[in-house]
Amino acid sequence: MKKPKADLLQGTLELLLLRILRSGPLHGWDVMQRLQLISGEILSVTPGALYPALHRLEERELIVATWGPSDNNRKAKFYELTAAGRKQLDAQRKQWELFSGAVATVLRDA
Amino acid sequence: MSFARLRRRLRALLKRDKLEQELADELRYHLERDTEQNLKSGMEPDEAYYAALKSFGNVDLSKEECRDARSVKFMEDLIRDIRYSIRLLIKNPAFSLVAVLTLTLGIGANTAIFSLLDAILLKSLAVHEPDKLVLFGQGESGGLTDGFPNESTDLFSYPFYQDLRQHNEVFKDLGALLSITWTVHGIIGSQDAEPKRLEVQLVSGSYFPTLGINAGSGRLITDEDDKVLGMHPVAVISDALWKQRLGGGANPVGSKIIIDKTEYTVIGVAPKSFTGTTVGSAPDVWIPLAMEPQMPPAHWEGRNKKDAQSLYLIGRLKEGVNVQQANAAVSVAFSRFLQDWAGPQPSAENVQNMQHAFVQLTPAGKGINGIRSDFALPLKILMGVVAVVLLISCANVANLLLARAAVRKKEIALRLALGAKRWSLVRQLLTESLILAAVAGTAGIALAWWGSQVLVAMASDGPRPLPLDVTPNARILTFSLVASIVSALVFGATPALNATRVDLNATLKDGKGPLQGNFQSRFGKALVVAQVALSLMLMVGAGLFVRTLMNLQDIPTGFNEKNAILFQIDTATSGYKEGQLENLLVQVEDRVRQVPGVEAAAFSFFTFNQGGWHSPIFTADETPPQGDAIVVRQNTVGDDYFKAMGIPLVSGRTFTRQDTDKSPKAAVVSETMAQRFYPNTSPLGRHFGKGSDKRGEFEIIGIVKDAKYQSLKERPRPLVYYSMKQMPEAVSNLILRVSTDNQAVIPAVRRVLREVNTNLPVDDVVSLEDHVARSLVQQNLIARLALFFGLLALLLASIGLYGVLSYSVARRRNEIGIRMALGASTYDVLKAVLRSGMALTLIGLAIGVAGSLALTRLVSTLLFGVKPTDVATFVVVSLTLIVVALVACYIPARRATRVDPLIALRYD
Repeated sequence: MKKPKADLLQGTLELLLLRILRSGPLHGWDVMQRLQLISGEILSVTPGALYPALHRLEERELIVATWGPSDNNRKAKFYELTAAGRKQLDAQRKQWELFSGAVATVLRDA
Repeated sequence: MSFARLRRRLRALLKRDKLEQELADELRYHLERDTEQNLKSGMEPDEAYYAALKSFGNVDLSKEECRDARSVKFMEDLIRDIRYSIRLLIKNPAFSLVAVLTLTLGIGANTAIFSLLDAILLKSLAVHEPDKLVLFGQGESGGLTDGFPNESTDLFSYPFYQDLRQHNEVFKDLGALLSITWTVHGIIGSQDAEPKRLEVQLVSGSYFPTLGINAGSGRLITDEDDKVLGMHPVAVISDALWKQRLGGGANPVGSKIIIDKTEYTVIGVAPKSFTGTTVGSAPDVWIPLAMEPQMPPAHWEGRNKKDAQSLYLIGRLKEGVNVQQANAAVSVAFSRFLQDWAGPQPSAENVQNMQHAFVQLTPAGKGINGIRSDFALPLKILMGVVAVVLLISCANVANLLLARAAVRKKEIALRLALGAKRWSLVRQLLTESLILAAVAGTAGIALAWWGSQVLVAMASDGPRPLPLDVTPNARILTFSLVASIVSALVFGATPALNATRVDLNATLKDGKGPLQGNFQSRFGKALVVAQVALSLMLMVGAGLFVRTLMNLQDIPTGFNEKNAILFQIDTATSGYKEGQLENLLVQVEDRVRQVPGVEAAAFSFFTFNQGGWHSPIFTADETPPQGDAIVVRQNTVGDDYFKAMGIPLVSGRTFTRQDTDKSPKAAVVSETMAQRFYPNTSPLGRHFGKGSDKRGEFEIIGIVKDAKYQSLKERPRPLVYYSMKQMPEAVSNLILRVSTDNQAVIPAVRRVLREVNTNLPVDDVVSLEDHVARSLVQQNLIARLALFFGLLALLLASIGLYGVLSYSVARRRNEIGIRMALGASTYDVLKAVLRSGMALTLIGLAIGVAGSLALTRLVSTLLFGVKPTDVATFVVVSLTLIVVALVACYIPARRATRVDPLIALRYD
């Protein structure tokens, strides 16, 4: 089993994925597009990182997957936040805000 | 693990193909969307697809990482390892068979002994919260005593039980049961049914409520059933009696059981899991203590007597009360009770007694002692013995694996060279070991299932096996599982680690890495030395136990156990009144004596090893011990008893037809009694009595040789015999002296018994020799098992020795070839191989002797007539081992001498 390359990066990706999935069920490709779009093309994720991350979230029961028809009526795998996922998102988000706030403060005042 | 996750894991394992398909679909969908987008932005179709692929990155790697995320990769690897291992094991059937057989013996033996250990030492009673139950005393003595308590007390009177039950703050409830069970015969159901042998346990109304169990059917005995003496003829029967002996037909509640003259109504059936509270005893029927006076054979009546102490008491602790607190409360109550008993002016003796009397509460959750204390040490020793056997088996398998690893060295080196990780190879090799152990463990459990029944039969001292439940339970299965896994690691780890420590270059070049060959033979030799040492220790132990058994068997009994048969007959349930019964028994003796082949026939209260009757006598004469009450052993016998038992008469006469209930009372005494009581005169014509006011009651008419009474180990003690016509007791032994063919008279005697009276059920027929042998059942068990396992260990060790030498001869073939080419004789070669084998043997022997000297002390309490360091045993065992080792070494040595130098040199 391979270890994640960087914990911070992976943790961040997880947070972003959870946030994006909060608005409703999406399949992988949509998630990727949306991340790029919303972040103004600043943040992007390769499929090679995205799918394993989604599968890990599924394994941890933070999201569930269902197969359904996509926009153009093909079968796609949709991911959706679970209750546990929602909680995890809130917790991680608070942590992130604390962390980024602290970094910002240091950068400003040090 | 949540259920959803478990389901997903299972799905991941079982529907791997489907999941793979889904993963592929998901990623393909992504590629298609990318391609579409690229098309929209104006790319050519081909270009669009390749651009999508390029931006995706390595698809297979992504898939792999997604699979990893599923965390079943480990399981998938495991399944692959298992498949591969099974293939390999099937390809080497000889190796697999030997390894599995060896381990099966080891694991099976361990599981079997553990099953017995579990049933006797570990298993908790199937009652509510068994941990809260305490027994008053150790539960080591049983029966009825009327002496004032003066030491640790096990037996209690009904008044004490009542008193304590009503006034105490520490027990939720307190139950009483008679300390022994009565074996009677009862007629169940219809009037004319054959009487059935029943083990009856008398219990107080609070017994079942204290245990907190519910009836399997109907209801159990309550306080309402135990109120008025003699007025509650009700019975609870065991599930086994109903299901097995009554055929499990219609619900027995409401049916009748007639015991002696009383008709009992069955009110319920105990749950199947409940077989009584005493280890190694399983009552068929529970009856209220209030019915005790009606219950044969003793018809005890102790409800209002402070001195009739015959009960075991079991208490259930209140919440929050610990054993110490309860014990303190019981001690206070007990001493108050004794003061009350001793009266306001206690005798000096009783003041003394009261100071020494105490009650110790012991945990009762695992049942009352019963046979536990007899078997605890032997079982623990046997457990150690079989653990050693398992170790020796493991050593053998480890050696086999080492030898096989040598064969597979090239394959392993190749796989390592091709990039296999060492860990994954070790894992694969360990998987093989675990599979061997799993197969052997399963077979071992089956072997143990059978073996433990055999053990129970061997441990039983009567015709019926001890009622011990040795069917595999969760604890036993866990034990086997752990034993199997630990064995696999013990025998598998070193070979696996060693096999994968390969010098790739050397191995791939010529197929042998010289270095690990060295390690391998050194490790193999160490294993053999250990095996020899361990098997020597087991053999020494076996030798000591066998000598103990032989010493015990050599003790003269004082009677002639040859050509004698013992019938055990229930005479108490016949429905006859006293007096009538004695006439009937005399009639039986007379009729049986007429059976061809029978030379003498007599009833007796006791024969040998059946407990004892110890009570005081008061002599009339001014001879030592000067008229004091002296406790002597006593027996009640028929006229022919001494002839039937073969106990020689020293002087005077034995009982005859003229001794009747109307003639003067007569007694025969043993030689030791005569010497102790009448050292310088003849006791003939002297008198004694059974009470201080009846000193002239019995006249001594004869003196007989001493004979063993309760056990073979006992010293000769004073013993008095009475005539059963003058001292009626529950005689249940009919001893026959027969001329030659023992077995032939048995059916004829049975027929005679039926003719005389249909209510004389025969419990058991056994030759007197076997009856004596049964008194050594424990010693027999341990000697036979120790010998069996000792020989097994020796066999395994010699196989180990043979294997290591064979392997080393095979490896040194060209060396031997060179030596022979240079002029070594076959004798030189033979000597060299034998020497290397015997060197290992002697080192092992030395270690084994040292170990034995250190360890045999532990078993000294189980030995008789032989010291734990008995030189003869050590010498004989060592010589046996050396001879066996020589044979094991000789075969490979002979093979070495047949090496043809030409072939050996050409081949390599």
